[in-house]
Amino acid sequence: MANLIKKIEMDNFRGASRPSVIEFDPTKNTVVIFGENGRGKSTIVDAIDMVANGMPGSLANRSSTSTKQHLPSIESNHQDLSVKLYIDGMEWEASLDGSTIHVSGDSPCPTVHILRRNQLLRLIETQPAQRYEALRRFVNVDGVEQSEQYLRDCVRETNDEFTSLYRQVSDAKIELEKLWKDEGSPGDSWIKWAHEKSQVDISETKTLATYLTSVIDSFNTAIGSKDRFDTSFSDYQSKFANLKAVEEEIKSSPGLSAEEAINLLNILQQTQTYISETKEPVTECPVCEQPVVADQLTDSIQKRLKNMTEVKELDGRNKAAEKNLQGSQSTLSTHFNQLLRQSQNVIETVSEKKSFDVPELVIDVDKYAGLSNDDLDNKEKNRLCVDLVEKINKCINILRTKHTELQKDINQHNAIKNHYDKVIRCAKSAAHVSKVLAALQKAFNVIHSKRIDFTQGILNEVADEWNRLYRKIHPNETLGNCTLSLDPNRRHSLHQGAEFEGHHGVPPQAYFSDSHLDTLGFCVWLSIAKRGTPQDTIIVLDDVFTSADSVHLRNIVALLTEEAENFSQLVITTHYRQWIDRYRYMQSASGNVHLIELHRWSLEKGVRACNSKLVLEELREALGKEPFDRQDVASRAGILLESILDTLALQYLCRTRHTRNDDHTLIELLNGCVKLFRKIQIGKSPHLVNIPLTKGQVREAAEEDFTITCPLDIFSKIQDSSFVRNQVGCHYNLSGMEISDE
Amino acid sequence: MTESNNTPNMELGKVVVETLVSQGLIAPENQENILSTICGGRMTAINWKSFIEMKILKDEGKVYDGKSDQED
Repeated sequence: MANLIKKIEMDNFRGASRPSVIEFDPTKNTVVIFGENGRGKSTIVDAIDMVANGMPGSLANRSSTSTKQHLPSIESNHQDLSVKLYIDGMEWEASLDGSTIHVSGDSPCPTVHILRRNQLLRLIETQPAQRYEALRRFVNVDGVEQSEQYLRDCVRETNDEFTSLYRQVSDAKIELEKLWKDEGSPGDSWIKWAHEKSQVDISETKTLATYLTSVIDSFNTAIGSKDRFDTSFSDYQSKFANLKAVEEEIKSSPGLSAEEAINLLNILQQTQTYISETKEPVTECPVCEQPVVADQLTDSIQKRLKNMTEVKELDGRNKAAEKNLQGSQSTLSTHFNQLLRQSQNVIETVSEKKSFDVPELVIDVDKYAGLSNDDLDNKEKNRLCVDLVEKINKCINILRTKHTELQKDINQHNAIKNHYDKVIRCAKSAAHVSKVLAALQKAFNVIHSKRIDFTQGILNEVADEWNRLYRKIHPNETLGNCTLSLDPNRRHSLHQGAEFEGHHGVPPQAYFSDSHLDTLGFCVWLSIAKRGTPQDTIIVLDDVFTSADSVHLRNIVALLTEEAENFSQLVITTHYRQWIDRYRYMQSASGNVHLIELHRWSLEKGVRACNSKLVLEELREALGKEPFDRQDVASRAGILLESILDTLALQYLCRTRHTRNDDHTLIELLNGCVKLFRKIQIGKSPHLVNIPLTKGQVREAAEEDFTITCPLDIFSKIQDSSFVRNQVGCHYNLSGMEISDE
Repeated sequence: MTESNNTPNMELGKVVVETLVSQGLIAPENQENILSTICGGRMTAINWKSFIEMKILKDEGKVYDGKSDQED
């Protein structure tokens, strides 16, 4: 089924500031949209791009632009934007949500390839990487390429894994060899020695080391307890001596005995408190009930207390000494209990020595049985504790040395076993990883080389085609035979080469003109676009050619007319009036071409289009118009006749005057074409309606398909009446007035 | 959306997978799975290693258990 765009509706989109509908003739597969610069050609192409490809069109490659801000028309916002595309009874609509393009439709939109001028320049003039980007869509193998990248990562990671394993094996070997040498290099080799060592059972050594650890720990704890007990005992003795000294001082005080003075002091202090705290004024002594005057009594007590300061200070020191002694006694008791408990723990731990051969452990546990005897007094127990700690101090360093030796043996065994196991385990893993690495590297080589070959294959496959197309535009020129080659050492990089004046592989940018580079890029792009299923593909060319002269433009138009048959639809926009006029004057086959002309753009009116008619159709309409406009008909007929004769003269190399300024006259063209009209036959075949009339095609057509007419008769009539064009169509003169409308 | 069979990506994917199978790098029974994964760009480093190891172990008569470190 042919995919033909039939209608485009745009609203608030780019230049379409007002609702705009562009309709394409569904019976013609080529659409030529002519518009001078700034009339909306790119707006139409961008609309197609947005719906068909979900792309922001020409904005994608322009700096300082944003989809959200600049895809909508200048006085609208993104919510107001709408573009609809109608293809073969189906409809797709694109809208804008912020910067995100949404396309809705019942099925995937047909393939639309769009070529813009800037893309053409990227294809030809830029660096190899950008050149690849311009063609990327046609040689897109992104999925495979991403998988190739993952494989590259996998090879690198696996190589790192292998290197790590190899390094672990090497490091372990070095360590084992060092241990072997430290042992005096016993046996045949370090590996044999390491194997034998790693097989030795050292569980007994480990158990003994554990036992000695617990013994030494209990020793250390008991020694610590003894130190704390000794300190407490010294403190107790000091506090006791202090109290005795204070008591002695009280006893030796003069006058009242110290004890009596202290008692009197207490009575006086209590009486003073009684008087000050009683609510009613005191009038008599509470003890003897003799009358007293409270104020006088208080003054008297204060005077007496003042005279007893020394007694008061002595009493305070005595009380403090008693309190300190009590505290010290309590601490001493606690530390004694701790010493006793740790001593019992030592005996209990040492008692396990029966299971081990430890001659260095010289403590006779039976001797200290009294430590756990409740009937034994603390003094005796203390003596046993002190004795035990003395024994511990004698043997603890020997036991520490023995423990250190045992631990050294254990550590060496562990080191040998760990290193040996690592050598065996890592060597095995390294062997496996090495196999995997080799296979991964091989797989990477496959995918990498296949991708390069595949992409290059596509380029080679289409090389003949693009050179064929190029020769169609530039026949008999000493340049062409272009090649594109993928750089195998760089990602996404395309090198270009061409033939110029017998030199092969030269960069075309260095020798080709702008026009030749344009057409070269176009031919490359078109030939690659033809790959796959071109019959289902719509091609859009957005004002691609800007530097083609009239001869090459004629060839380009002819080429596109031929190539349009390969595609579902060909849409061309151009600002070249010459292009659309070639069709209008039928200098190129126009039967399958829908011509559209864009009006002048304004913000108030937006993008507007109208169908452009063939000059022949316009002449027919002028002939049928009432009232009859003879000047208009004569003028149009004259121009059409000039166009026909000019084309024939160029095509068949007639001898006629052609100047650089194109100031040759109709008469000169007629005279130059006389010989041609004497020789040629003109026919019309249904098969040739859309084909440019050339010598080759006339010869190839079957003779019975032609309705032969004698052109010379027609030519003579035209020659005879050619003056009408000047006299009626162009100038004021009396002769022209005498010519009949018939 | 499933990728069309005639895209360049799929064309190349088929060529790659057929070559990998013919060179004994991946098992034929995984061919379809690998093709869609490669073309979808989802053949991660872990996936590559898994499929390659699977084939190596299969050739050695062992069963792949999903672990990269093959200890007995």
